[in-house]
Amino acid sequence: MKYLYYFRLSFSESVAYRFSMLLSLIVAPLTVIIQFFVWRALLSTQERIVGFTLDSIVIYFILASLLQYFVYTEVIDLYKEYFVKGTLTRDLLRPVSLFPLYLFWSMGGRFLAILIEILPLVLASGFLLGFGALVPAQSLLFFLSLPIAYLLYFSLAFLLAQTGFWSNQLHGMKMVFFMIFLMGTGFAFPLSILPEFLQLISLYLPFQHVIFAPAMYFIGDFSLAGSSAAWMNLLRGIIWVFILILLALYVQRRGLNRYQGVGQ
Amino acid sequence: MKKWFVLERFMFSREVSRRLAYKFDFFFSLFTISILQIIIPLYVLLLYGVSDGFPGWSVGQALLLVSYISLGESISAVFFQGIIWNTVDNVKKGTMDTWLLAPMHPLAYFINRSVDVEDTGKIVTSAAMTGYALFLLEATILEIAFLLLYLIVPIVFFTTLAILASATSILFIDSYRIYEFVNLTSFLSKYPLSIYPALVQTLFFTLVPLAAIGVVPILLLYQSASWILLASALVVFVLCALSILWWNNTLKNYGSAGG
Repeated sequence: MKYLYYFRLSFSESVAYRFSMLLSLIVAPLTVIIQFFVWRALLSTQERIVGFTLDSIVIYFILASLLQYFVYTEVIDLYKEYFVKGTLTRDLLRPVSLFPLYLFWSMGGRFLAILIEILPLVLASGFLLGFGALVPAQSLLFFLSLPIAYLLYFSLAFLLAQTGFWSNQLHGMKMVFFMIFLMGTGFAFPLSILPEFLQLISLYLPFQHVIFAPAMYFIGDFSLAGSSAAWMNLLRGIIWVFILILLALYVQRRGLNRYQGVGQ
Repeated sequence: MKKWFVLERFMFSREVSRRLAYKFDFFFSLFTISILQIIIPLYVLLLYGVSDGFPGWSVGQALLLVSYISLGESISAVFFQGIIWNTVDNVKKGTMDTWLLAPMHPLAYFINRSVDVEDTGKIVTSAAMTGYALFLLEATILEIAFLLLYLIVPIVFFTTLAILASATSILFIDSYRIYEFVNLTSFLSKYPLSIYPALVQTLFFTLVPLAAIGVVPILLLYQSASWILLASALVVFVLCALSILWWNNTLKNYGSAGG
């Protein structure tokens, strides 16, 4: 399959510079440890906070770190470079479609991450919390939610990257994407600590399916804005994947109509 | 020194003009970065909304801690922290050699070239959050004046971190994610240090002076702590001097690569 070539290519690029990935080995566990101390202090005067015990909140933040590595994509950076250098033309001349091309390219980059970012964190968590804690409470829901999280995150990044056809610059858009990731997905904090009306908005937006929903399926206690219908939430995630892919392809087609291959 | 300030002013205006070439992107970035700056203060406020908060710390004190450190970090980000990105990028592209030809000390020149105007949005947001926290604490003029003077400590601390990260980037090609380590240190310092084990607290008051950049002034002003804690601020300046020495030493061993 021709797209597998891009998977292999991206994997080879990732191997070339290992320092960045090795940094993650320090950063992710320390982030979880800080959250552990924060929540331990908060839980010293009460047993639960918005349904979380100390164990479940630690698992939540471990999963948030793991899912962050799992879904990570550099497609916006890639487009940013293409618009400056005008090299998008090169990929347009190839007998491939851009969406699956960059999807497989991104997946190739993640393959090494699974080996040197995700696996050590999983093993360290297993030794600290016991490997029993690493079994999802709602296994089927959790594993079904992973491809949804990946596709949703990638489609959103791809969609925002297409705006470069109009602005030629993607720095601001990358910041927006980062902001959505931190505040909307549940990466920085569980969405269930938000006020009720913001939880309701989050429930119907696509972003919670990237971190919050998979993590809560794993813990087995999905609840947002009073809704604990986990399968219904998964269905909402699938619908959002289709909407975002179709929207990204539509915007890409409109953008390509006005594309001129200029650059350095 | 005068030459450095003249060049710094020139670089700032040049950077504003460069970014204004794409106005929409610039203002969009400025706005988004300002919003991003409220995430941890917002997290602290949300935590106080759903729990009793950190034992011994009122919501105003906890908010002041996170906002005040963010303010120092933001000022450092505009004028100094760009050195990290510039070092990583130039080492990878092999263009750092041309920067070394400038007729001034390389570190001073690197800092000159590293002005980041879009981070000015961070200063505005952090200052607003700090102002709100001071309002909650009903701060006096003297307390505000002390905090303004003391701001030099977090600024120097975050600049020291940037210099250390820059030196590391000279050693390792393509170390873009060194930023994550800098962010982690900042994240670590933004909560009351009493949440950490005693050994870690001792470490943060001495060798790794995270306490000095935010916890110390708040303990002095609002929790009647001993003024001897100010000694930890001195460690920040010592570390800064050591980081400059290390940066110079790293540069001596720099072998041009990349491209």
